[in-house]
Amino acid sequence: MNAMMLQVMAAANVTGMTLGERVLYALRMMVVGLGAVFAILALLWGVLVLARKLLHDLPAQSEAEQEALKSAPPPGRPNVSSRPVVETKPEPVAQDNGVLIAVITAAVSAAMAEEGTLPPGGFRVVSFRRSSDAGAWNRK
Amino acid sequence: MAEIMQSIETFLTGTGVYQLFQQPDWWKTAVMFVLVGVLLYFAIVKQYEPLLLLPIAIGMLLTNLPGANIYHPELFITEPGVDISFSEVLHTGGFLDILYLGVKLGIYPCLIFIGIGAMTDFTPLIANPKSLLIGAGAQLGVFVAFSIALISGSFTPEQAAAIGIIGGADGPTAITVTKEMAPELLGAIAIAAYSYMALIPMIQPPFMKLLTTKKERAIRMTTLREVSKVEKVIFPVLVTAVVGLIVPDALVLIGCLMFGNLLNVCGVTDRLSKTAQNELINIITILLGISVGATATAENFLKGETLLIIACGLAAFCVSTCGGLITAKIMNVITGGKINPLIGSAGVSAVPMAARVSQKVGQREDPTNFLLMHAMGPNVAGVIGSAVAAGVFLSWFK
Repeated sequence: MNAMMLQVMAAANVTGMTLGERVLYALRMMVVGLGAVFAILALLWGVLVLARKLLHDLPAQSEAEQEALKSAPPPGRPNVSSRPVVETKPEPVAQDNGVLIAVITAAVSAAMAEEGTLPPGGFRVVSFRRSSDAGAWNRK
Repeated sequence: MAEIMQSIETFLTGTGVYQLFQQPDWWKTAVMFVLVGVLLYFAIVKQYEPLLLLPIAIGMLLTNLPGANIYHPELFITEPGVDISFSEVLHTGGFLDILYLGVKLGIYPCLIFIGIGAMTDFTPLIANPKSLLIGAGAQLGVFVAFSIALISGSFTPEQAAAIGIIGGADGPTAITVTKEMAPELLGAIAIAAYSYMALIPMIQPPFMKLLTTKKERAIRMTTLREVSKVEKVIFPVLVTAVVGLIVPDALVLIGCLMFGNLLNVCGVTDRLSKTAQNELINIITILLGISVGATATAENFLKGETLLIIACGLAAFCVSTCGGLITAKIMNVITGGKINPLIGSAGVSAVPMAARVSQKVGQREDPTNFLLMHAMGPNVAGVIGSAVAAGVFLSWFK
C-alpha cells in the first residue's frame, strides 16, 4: 500500500460516515498503523543483528582464517605428520581478579571496622579460596 | 471623598474574587481549583510523577485565576487554515503565553527527549534486539484507543490520534502529537498521560497475572551478553538513520533521543551528557509542565469530551499492557520457553517504572529471579515504538 493511498484513507471524511463505515475505517487504520510499527521495528531488529555480525562475527572469522593460514604448512611441502588430528580444549585463561579482590577487601574491612576487630595497620589479602562452609552467608 | 470611594471601587472590581463571581460559569473555575488540589495531593503526598504533576497543577492554578491574564488560549487555537500570529503573542501575550511557545513550536518535547536519551541505557536492547517486537506489540493500545475514539463519533481523526497516543505511555510523544493535531485537547491529554504513567504500578499487575500462568511468571531468562562500546556508539546512529529514512515524521523525536544517547555513550562529551541529564531536562520539565498545565482552562477542560479522553486513555494503557504481554507470550512459545512473558508489560514506554513492575511481579513468584535488565529491553524499545507510532499518525494527519 503506497503512501498516497494511506493519506487518502487518513483524510476520509469520518463525520459523514455511518457507524458501520466508521468501524471498518477504524479497523483498517488500526491494522495498517500497527503493521507499519511492527514492520519498522522488525527492520530495526534486522539491521541491529546485521550490524553485530559485521562488527564481531566477521572480524573474528577472518582472524581465525588468518590463524589457520599461519599454522598451515608452506605450499609444496607435504604434511609428513601421520598423527591423527585431536581436538584439544583451550587452556583456561588466567583471569584478572584485581577488581574482585578489591571489592572483597573493602567489604571485609568495612565489616571488621563495624565490629571493631580491624587491626590498626589494616590487612593485606595475599590469597583467597572458596570456603567449604557456605552456610555463613545464609545466616540472618 | 468621592474620589476615595471611586479608588476603592476600582480596586475591588479588579480583584480576582469579584471577577470570579462575575463569570456566568464561576462554578467551573471552582471545580478546576479542586482538581488542582487533587493533582497537588497526588504529586506531593502520594509522590506520583511529582516532577511533572506539580508544575502542571501550578500551571492549571495560574491559568484559572480570574483576571490574571497570563495565558490566552485564543491566541493559539485558531480556525483551520489560519496561522497563529506570533507577533500578536509576543506583543499581547502573558507570561504563560510566551512559555507555551516552546510547546507550540515543538521545542520542549524534543529537548526532553535529548535528556531522556542521555539518561537511558540501551544496552539491554542492543544485547537482545528481539525486544523491539515486544515494544511494537505494546503499541496495540495506541491504535485500539484511536479506533475507539474514532468510532465514538465525538472526535475527528486528528483528535482520535492524539488520544490514542496516550497508550504509548510517553509524555513528550503525546504532547508532540497533540500540539500538532489537536491543541485544544492538550491539557486533558497531557494530564491523562502523566496520571496513568504514575498509576502504572496499579494498572499493570492485574493484567500481568491474568495473562500469564504461574509457571510462565517463574521463567528464568539467560544472562544478557556483553555489549561492546562500538555497538553502543553505532546503535543511536543506526536507529536515527533507519527510522528517519522510513518515517521522517518520527525523526524529530527519535533523532533527539538518539542524539542524547550518543552524548552519553561516545565517552568524549561527558560535560554535555551531564548537562542533558540534569540541568537541561530539569529546566525544560519545569517549563513544559507549567505551560501544559496552563492549557487546562475551565472552559477547555470541563467538557464531556475530557471524560471520554480519560476513559480512552485508560483503555489504551490496559490494551498496550496486554499487547506487550501477548507478544512476549508468543515469543516465549517460539523460543521454547526462554522468555518470561512478564517482560512484555514493560513494552509500554514509561521508563523505568514499567520495567520495575515486571521485576516486582516476577519476584512475587520467585524472589531470586531478576527480570529488571531483561525488562529494560522492551521498555526502551517501547520508547522507540511509541515515537514510530507518533510518526505514523503525523504522516497520516499532519
